[in-house]
Amino acid sequence: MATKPNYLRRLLICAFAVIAGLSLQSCSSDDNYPTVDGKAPTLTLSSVQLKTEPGRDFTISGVAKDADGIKSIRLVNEGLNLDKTIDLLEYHPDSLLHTYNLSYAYKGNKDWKGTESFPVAITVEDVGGRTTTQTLTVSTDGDFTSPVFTTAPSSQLTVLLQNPKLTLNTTVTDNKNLGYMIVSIPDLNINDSISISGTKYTLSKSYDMPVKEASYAMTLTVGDAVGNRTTTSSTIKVSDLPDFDNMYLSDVTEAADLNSDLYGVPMLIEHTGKYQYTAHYYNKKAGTPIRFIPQKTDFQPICFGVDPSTGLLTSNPSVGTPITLSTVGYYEITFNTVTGEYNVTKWTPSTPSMVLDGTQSVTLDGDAQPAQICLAGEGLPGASNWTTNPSSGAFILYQDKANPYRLYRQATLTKGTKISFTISQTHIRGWWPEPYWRFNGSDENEKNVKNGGDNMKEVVVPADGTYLFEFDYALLRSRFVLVK
Amino acid sequence: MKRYFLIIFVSILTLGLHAQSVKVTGQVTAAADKEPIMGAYVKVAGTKTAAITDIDGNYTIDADKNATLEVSMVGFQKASISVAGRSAINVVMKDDVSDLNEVVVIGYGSVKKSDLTSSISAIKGDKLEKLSTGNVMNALQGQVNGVQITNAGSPGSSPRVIIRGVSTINGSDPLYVVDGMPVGNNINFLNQNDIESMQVLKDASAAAIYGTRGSNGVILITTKKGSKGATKFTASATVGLQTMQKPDIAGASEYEQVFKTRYTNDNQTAPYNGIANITNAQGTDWWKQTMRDVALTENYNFGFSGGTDKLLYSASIGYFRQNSQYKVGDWQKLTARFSMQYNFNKIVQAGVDFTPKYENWHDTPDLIGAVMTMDPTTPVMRDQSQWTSNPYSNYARSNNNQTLNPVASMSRLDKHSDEYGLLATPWISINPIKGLTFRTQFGMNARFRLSDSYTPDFHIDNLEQAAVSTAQRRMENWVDWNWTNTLTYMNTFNKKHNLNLMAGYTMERFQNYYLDGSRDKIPSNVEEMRYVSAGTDNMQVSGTNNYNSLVSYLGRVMYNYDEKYYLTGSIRVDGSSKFTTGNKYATFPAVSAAWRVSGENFMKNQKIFDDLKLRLGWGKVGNQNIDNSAYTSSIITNRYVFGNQIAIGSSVGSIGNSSVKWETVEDYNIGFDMSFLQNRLRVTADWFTKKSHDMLMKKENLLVLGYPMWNGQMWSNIGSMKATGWELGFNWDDKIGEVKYGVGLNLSSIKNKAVNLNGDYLYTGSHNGDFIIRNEEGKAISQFYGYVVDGIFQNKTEVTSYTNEHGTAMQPNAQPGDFRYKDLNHDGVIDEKDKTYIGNPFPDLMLGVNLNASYHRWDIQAQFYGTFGNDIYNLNRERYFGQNGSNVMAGTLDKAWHGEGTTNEYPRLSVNDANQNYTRPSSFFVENGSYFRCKLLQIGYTIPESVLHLCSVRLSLSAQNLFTITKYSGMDPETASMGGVTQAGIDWSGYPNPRTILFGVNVNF
Repeated sequence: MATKPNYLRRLLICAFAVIAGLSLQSCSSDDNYPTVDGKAPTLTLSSVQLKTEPGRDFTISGVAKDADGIKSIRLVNEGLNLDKTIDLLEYHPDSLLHTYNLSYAYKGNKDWKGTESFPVAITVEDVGGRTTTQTLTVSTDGDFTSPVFTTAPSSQLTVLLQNPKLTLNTTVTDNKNLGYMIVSIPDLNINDSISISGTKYTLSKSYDMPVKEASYAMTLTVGDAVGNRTTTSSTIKVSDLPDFDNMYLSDVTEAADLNSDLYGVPMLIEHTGKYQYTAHYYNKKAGTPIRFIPQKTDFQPICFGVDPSTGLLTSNPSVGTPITLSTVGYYEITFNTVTGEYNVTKWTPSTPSMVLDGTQSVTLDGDAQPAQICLAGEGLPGASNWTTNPSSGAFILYQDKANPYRLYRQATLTKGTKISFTISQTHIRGWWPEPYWRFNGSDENEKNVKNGGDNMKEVVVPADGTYLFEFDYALLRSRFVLVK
Repeated sequence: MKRYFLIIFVSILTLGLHAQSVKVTGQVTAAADKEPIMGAYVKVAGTKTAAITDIDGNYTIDADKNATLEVSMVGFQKASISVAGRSAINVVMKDDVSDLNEVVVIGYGSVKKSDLTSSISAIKGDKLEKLSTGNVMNALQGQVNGVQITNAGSPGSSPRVIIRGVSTINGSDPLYVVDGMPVGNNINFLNQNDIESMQVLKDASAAAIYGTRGSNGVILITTKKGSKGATKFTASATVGLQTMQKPDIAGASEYEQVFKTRYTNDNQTAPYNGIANITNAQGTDWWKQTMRDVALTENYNFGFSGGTDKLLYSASIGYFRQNSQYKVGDWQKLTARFSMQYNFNKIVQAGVDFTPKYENWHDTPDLIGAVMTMDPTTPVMRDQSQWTSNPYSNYARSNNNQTLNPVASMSRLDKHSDEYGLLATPWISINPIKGLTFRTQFGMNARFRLSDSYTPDFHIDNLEQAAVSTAQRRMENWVDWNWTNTLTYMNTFNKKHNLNLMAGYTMERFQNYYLDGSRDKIPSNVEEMRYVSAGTDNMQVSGTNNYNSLVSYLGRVMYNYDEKYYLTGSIRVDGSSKFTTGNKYATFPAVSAAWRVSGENFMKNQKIFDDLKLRLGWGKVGNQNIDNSAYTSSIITNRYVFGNQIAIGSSVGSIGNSSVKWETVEDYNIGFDMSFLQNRLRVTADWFTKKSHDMLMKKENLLVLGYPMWNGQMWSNIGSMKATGWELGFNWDDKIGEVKYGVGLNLSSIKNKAVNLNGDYLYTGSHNGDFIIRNEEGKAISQFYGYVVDGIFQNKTEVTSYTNEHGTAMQPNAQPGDFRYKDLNHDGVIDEKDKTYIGNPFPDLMLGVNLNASYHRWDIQAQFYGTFGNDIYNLNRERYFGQNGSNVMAGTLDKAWHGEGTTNEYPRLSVNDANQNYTRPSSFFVENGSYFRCKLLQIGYTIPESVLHLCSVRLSLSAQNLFTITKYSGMDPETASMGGVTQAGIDWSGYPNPRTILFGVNVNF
């Protein structure tokens, strides 16, 4: 008996065959690369040993080759928390690479102790699934850090004809071991090389200058034991006592403290006439010693202090002693750098004081808002960039209960952070209302300007630490100093 | 008053009754349930003799022995019975099952539903009465396919209505026309019980007759009119209880832990402001402090209608009230309607519809966001020892964040409005010769709104205070009028050529006036002082007039041959005051055709189709939804702040474009209407596409100000959008034994695309300094645009290894527990270029299911509505972050990543959020917004007349929004889907649709 063909069954079989075929087709897509030599890839590393140091980045480099085409390169080391597959088919979808220049940077960890060793397994896989593995060992005992001038001479040094001696008080440090220091003043044929060691060294040395008005270029170079070096340059001007355009008040005792701030130390004072200067200063701690210097980074070569023998000011740092401000409060100090006469009196700011601790309100654009001042800028911890809005974490300053003119706040800052800001009243919409204070346009943010001025020149945090920002809206001076 | 009604009732009842000599008695019953029919109109054919059946369906009438009785009743097929000498005749009336003979309003005319050539959906008013709502469009949801209705649950809110997708960025609201009078885009004023029928003109071939404003579709609403017969009274009362699900927010204990963990995870000390007097781990329940457990909604209606050969009348009065779920806020409206038609003779008819209304509302707060973010460790009030004489100052300030105390905010909210309105449409119709009708109607829609608001002065904290109090009053009038004149000629030639011609002329004017005044520093916050005149400072006043007008010429030809071949053509020429000479007038033509295949001879012997009709349509419609003065430039008063001083001056307000012209939408439609199985199954299918041309957009004119600025923008005809979709409707009605039931299924799918945006991206949905939505040419509109989250970094190795091919970290600020974002362009950097489209707020499919069944005196209704394939950008997911000390969702501490393998969904708690887990727009926030909701479940029982002899009473128990099937984690996927056409589907924590249990009574007598 003839049977009726089962069309449904045939249809299902055909459909199955088609689907199975399509499935196999799609599954084999990775195997579509034709085999050229069928050999495993080669990997030539630039070095199988790499040295780095805590916190220092390093780069693994080499050349991978494969005639069939390279699929990926995998780098693995558990201690480095590294398990990276460089999928070249993904990064270079338009071309199959047969040669690949590996250059893989790794960000160093500052918590390394300097004794670690990390064997990194580097596996190259070609499109046929063949692999080659090599190991590169990274050790953290290298030294790549240059020595640092923690106290460097100012870029402009003045040596007085009356005392033609250049005295250097320069401190250098190195993370491992210092090697040498060179003082070079070519025009005077001075090329003084000093062997040093340890992690810290202070050069205290004097050089005689010719007794004539002239300028000399000086270079100081410090190197460590493995050859990393740092250089700083200054211009030495031998002259009569000049009428310095800028004079600064220093309330720190160590030259290093002149250099550890973000800005503001020493403090610019007023040049009121020829050789005549007036300083206004708030003494927040009784017994603070102050001195005046025309250069910013050192008490050498000129520092105005009291000559104990005459009771007048002297420019000789080795002779002069600081003026001590005995009580807390504002002072006015006037002095003449030629005659050495000076006068210290208590002073009362004429600027109206304001309550800026947020307990009072101020009406801004129709909204009542707390009267308080913030730093609106970037690089400030916990604050959105350039906001005055308290809800966005505006960096609000505290007001000194003992001195309403003084606003302050501490911050923990990380080395390398770039900071700039405007000192401003807060605003619930993040606007920049008055009052605000910017800067006088000087390269080092030496003076503030109320409701005007120029933008702050960006500063970079020199080292991790806790810093104190202080602003006095009567003195129109601010500073950001390292406290610990 | 009642006595007057009775006198009128009796007088009207007797108008059509005249004594005769031969008496016939009998009972009229329904074929379906064998129940007697009250109010059926029994007439002796060819005479004026008539009678009305009583409550038991009985009638008595004098008739000649050879006469024929004609019995009619709404909802039943007309019956004709020969007396044939009998003195007792019982009449069984069949249901008018088929709706093909239903007359459908089509705009400046009407037509049998079976003769439609374009895409028009019609729904009867009784189907809209089942759901108790303040806006009848809420009840339309799911009943008509192709119409996307998204409800906002708060009192007085209007739903978003999109008919067949989006073809313009200038709003999606359709044009509402009530009894021939365009009434704008909000029909809150309309009582749903007053609606006889609603027609949705969906395609351009139908809507083109409304030319200028038809691009978003037109909704025609016909209110109830009197019908010939005895006066019938109806009354109904519905009382409902609304409830709202409380969101699952953390209590005080978890809040504190999350607050501190965010800091400790970032190696910072938490500046937590602890409070010693917390007595329970939950702290303050801000939801309970601001929300009612149960909110009341009420709906009462009373009406009567009837008529004679000369006079048809109808009247009703309704009261609706909905309380807000907040402890303040409500909306109530009192509406009335009077309709009268007088037939002077066979030639002249006249009538008037008169609809006064009164609305009153107290603003509903918008505080759900504040309730969810407020610090639960904070008490509602500060310690009594700190209270002042100003009660608004005695609320507590949040201990740990900047959220304003929501109970305090609610107590200060004092905004209320009264609105009075009158819609009147008198008309005269003249039929000088058979088939020719001249009709003129003058409609007027006037509204007057008085809004008062008061903001008290208070001081809770420097950041939560108002130094001065303010009283404000705004008076606003809208007076629109419309004069419509049409001449219609209908005739049939040689029994097969059916012709319907219409020509018309309309004039319309829309006017708006307002006066706004305010003063500050009211001496006291007491109720008696809350008037503008009591203010002592900062007197402000403003006011202006706005007008626009239209004149239109229109015409339409409808022809069909033997009810098999249909052709309709219409044209409308609109002139608008919004455009200047040269562009003032625009023409909107439309053509549609239909072929009744089932009417062909070759279909006569088939038994599959009872009806099969193919429809084709094309048309152009317009949009002029732009500023009244878009063609002219303006200078406005402006303020600028110099220091802390406000200076008043002038600035450029807007830039005119004298070349601006009409935006047009061109639309194609193809559809089928089918019915099967003795018309028990009816199927409608449509496919359509519509595209806008010369879409009006605002474009910056750099030549005006020299730099980009919002007020340098001007209207220009530069864009284009396109919507394409399909609709499928199934309706099944049948009986099983004594159970009568019906099933309706509406399916539709629409894709909306931006064709031309002048080469620009249109960004919307601003959030955290970025935008959530990007509209791009060639893409679907309103799509979410952001980064793609590829899980969470589970350990240090995953973070370290997420680099480009050269080792540069792609997310340098990431830590274990942070999101990993996909590098979509493989350039080794995570930046703007890695953003992509991560969600679409518009659904792939909309589904409405409508069920009804009845058994004896019991009936049951169920309505379901759902959308599928739509996404929601759920900003509530920020509530796992605790930004700025905000409260978080319950369980955050456990849900947030806190070690390898704990979660791949919620990132670690972090105060700095350096990786921007929560501040970048990303796929983390996108959720499937599909839902399927039981909108209505209603059980009714009609008490037998044998129990209540004077009236018919139906009791009902309903549940609205009874349950929702969804994966969406926010409060309500429906309100979350709201928003404008280019910014939809962002959940800003709006007022959700409440669940409502209602008890209703309907009385007919």
